[in-house]
Amino acid sequence: MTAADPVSCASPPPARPRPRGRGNALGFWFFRTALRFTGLRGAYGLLYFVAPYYALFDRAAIAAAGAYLRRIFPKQSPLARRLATCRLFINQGKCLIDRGAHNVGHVDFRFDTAQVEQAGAALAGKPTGFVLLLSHVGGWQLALPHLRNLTEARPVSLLMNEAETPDVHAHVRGDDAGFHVISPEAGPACVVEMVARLQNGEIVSIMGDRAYGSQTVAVPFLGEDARFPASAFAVARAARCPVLALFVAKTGVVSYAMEAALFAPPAPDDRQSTRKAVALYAESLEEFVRRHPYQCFLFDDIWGTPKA
Amino acid sequence: MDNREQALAEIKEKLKTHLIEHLNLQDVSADQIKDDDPLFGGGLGLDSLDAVEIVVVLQRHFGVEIKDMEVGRKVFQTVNSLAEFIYEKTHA
Repeated sequence: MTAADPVSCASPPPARPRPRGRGNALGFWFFRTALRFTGLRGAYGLLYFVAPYYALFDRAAIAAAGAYLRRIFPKQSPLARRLATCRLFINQGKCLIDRGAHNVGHVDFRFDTAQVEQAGAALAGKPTGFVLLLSHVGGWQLALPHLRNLTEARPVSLLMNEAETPDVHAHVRGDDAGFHVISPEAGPACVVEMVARLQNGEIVSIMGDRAYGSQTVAVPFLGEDARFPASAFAVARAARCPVLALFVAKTGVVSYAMEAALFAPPAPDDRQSTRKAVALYAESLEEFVRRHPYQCFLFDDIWGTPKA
Repeated sequence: MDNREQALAEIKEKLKTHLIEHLNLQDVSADQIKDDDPLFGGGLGLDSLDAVEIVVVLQRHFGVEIKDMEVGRKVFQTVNSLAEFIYEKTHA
């Protein structure tokens, strides 16, 4: 007896190992100290020593970045690809340092939120909430504290697996972050909670580009079919609410631009509407990463066949 | 069979038909779905995306919504629990 789902992959999603953390306590201390005494630029400077090490010797990290780099820069030589890997790691490190600096209040970052405010205005006054779709690009984690100012004080819930994302979990739980966390480990009940919250006018935030073990759909991305999680648009379809995708680009040392793409609710009477909506999201994500190719931190081979 | 039992039997029959259609359960007839089989993690072997589909089925075909996570946890167990919930909501 099988549930053959035309929307999702027929095979069950593979269990993902817990991602391996990089760096150690001493390394983090160096970054914190550099940040404290030399500011952002000093802390960034350390990255130019650390990132080449990972780009040269960390085979897992190189492979993870390579899946993306091969698609975004298909004609790169091996040497150019290694340099691109290094540049990608440096940029990711800068965004992580920014997150740390933001958390401890060392730096006042500037956020260009015009696009998001425009999208927020389009959603204002609607009885249903919306799914906020985040992607592993730029300073996506820095965007979270700003959501409360951009969403008419609607409560925000984050779908988040604590075991998979312990650092992010600690970040959104910290201080007065004020986010409600929905755990996918609750199974069907978490679906009910997400739909109910959306129908009550709340916001549910879901990562749109990494499945974390949930079911996926294959849609074109950077020239090949890639597997994206279907959950965000499936839940939006059940709740009959729109989806707002947010992309946060680092545009300067202390500046970010928040870009938004708004998607209408997938048609409830057409299950394939979920796949079509995911394809539109992948198009938007591709458009963003082609403009900011070194701000895509999707270190997961979403184009490859899932491991059994 | 009293009225409640008859209504529940009709709901279960209708529910199974919609589950087969919406979840695209291949080679499964309504008779093969047992009323007390677990829907998730065994039994029908459904997953969280299928749970979304069941939410849609309840809304579209029975006009009922589940607004509480705890209620959802209890209701999304078996065809029996779903049917009981639909009955309670539509015959209140």
